[in-house]
Amino acid sequence: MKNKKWSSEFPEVPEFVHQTVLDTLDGLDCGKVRKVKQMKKRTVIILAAAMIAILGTTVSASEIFKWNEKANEVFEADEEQQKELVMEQVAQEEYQTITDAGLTIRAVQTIQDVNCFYGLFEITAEDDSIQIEPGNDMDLLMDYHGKDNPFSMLGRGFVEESRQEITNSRYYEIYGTKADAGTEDLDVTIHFTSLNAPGEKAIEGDAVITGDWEFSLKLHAVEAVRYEINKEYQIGGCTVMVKEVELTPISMRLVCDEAGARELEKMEGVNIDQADSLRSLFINGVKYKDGSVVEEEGYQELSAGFRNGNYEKTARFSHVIDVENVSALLTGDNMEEIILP
Amino acid sequence: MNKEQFTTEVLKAEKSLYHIAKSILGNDEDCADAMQNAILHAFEKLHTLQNSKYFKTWITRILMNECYQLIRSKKEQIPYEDYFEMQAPAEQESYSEVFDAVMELEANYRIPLILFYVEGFSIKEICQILKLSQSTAKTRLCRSRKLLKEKLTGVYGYEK
Repeated sequence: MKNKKWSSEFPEVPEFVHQTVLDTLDGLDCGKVRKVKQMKKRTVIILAAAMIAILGTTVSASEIFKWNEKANEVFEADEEQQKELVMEQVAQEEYQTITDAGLTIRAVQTIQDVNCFYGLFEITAEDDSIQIEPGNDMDLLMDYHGKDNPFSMLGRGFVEESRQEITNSRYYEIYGTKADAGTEDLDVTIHFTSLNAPGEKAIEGDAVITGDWEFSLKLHAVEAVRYEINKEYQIGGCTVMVKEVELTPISMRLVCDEAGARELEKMEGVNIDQADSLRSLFINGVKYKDGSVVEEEGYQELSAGFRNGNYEKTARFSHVIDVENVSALLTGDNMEEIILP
Repeated sequence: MNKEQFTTEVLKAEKSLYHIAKSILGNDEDCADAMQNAILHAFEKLHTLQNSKYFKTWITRILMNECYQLIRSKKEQIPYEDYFEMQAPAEQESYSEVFDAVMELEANYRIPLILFYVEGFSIKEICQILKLSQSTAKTRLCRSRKLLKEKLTGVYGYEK
């Protein structure tokens, strides 16, 4: 039996599998450990089938992958990026609606990666005399199914007036910053308990409507692409050893040596230990391999500080980036380049 | 082992890795995912490989872990199970009757058989890869031969 030409009975390696192997081996260069993305025909079919089952047969493919407009105002992804991130389950359209006590809450969209989380809900009062303003708020509880709270910071609130007019229906956003970069899927229950009137200064407003609106979300986190850099750069007039950069389409993590960050701290006259930011390490732009530069508008630092003898910061990009084609990050007012290998 | 040597060894083992992934996962896109993850993990853990002559056994073990990991993660995704059948027609390939018959065997019998007959691993290596005792590996091989023979003669009309 062993003499039989068994290998001829077994299929050859398909071209796309071979290409994946080659791309993966190619990506091992220069300390760069990365997952090479492949278009997944099957994933598209599965997602499309699942969503058609939920939405009915009238929905088109382009609608399936399109993000909610309000969510996309925050992340600014083009159509192709929206599709890709839906396929990677970074962005998920949620299909849960709960009505109680005359208030309907719809979970609309979640977006998350290793560093941050964004959840969008639409909250509608049946009684259209109730006008929901940006100053209103929701009381809510979050449960992580026996696991520790992964977030170091959670921000939430109704969208501001410049983004939505005041009616009886308004979008509500939750922003989370993860305490530690996490690639594990996250099961979270968000339990809304009341819609509150606008409060006075720091005092919460009284409950206008109380009820139970409980949403179970399963959030998928995509792995970041990690670049080991270990190179000195002149940033803000100081020598800074940039050790590592991690990129996802929506956020980044930068690791520098403590000594370099301390030099910048002196130069800028700030105090990192009192949560001041280093302006020289703001990522103000992304340079692509073709030489084009996309400047950051509304760059958001998620976390920054000293950790394990290094200065580490995480930040969310104002536009979804094309990770595969980034050649450099541009820091500070002078847009100094941190070149990626 | 440096990056060039690692690349050479992976490419030498590529076909074998594909056959093993295929025997566990069935579809090619999952095979590509599992192989990619296995290569990345193997490269990251390269310092743990003590003797390069065991590279193929070592990376095969890593690949199998990746395959099982992938199956576990798919099981958690309800849509995958619900819509698994939808991808089948798109990926319908025509394979040899022997391959089809092998793939119909239970995994417990299929994988040792492929490792031994198709990929040429020794019983000792199969024991290391599958974490089995020698007697269990031999029993499974013997049983898999018998089952395969029955399938080929019964369903496919083979004489031997």
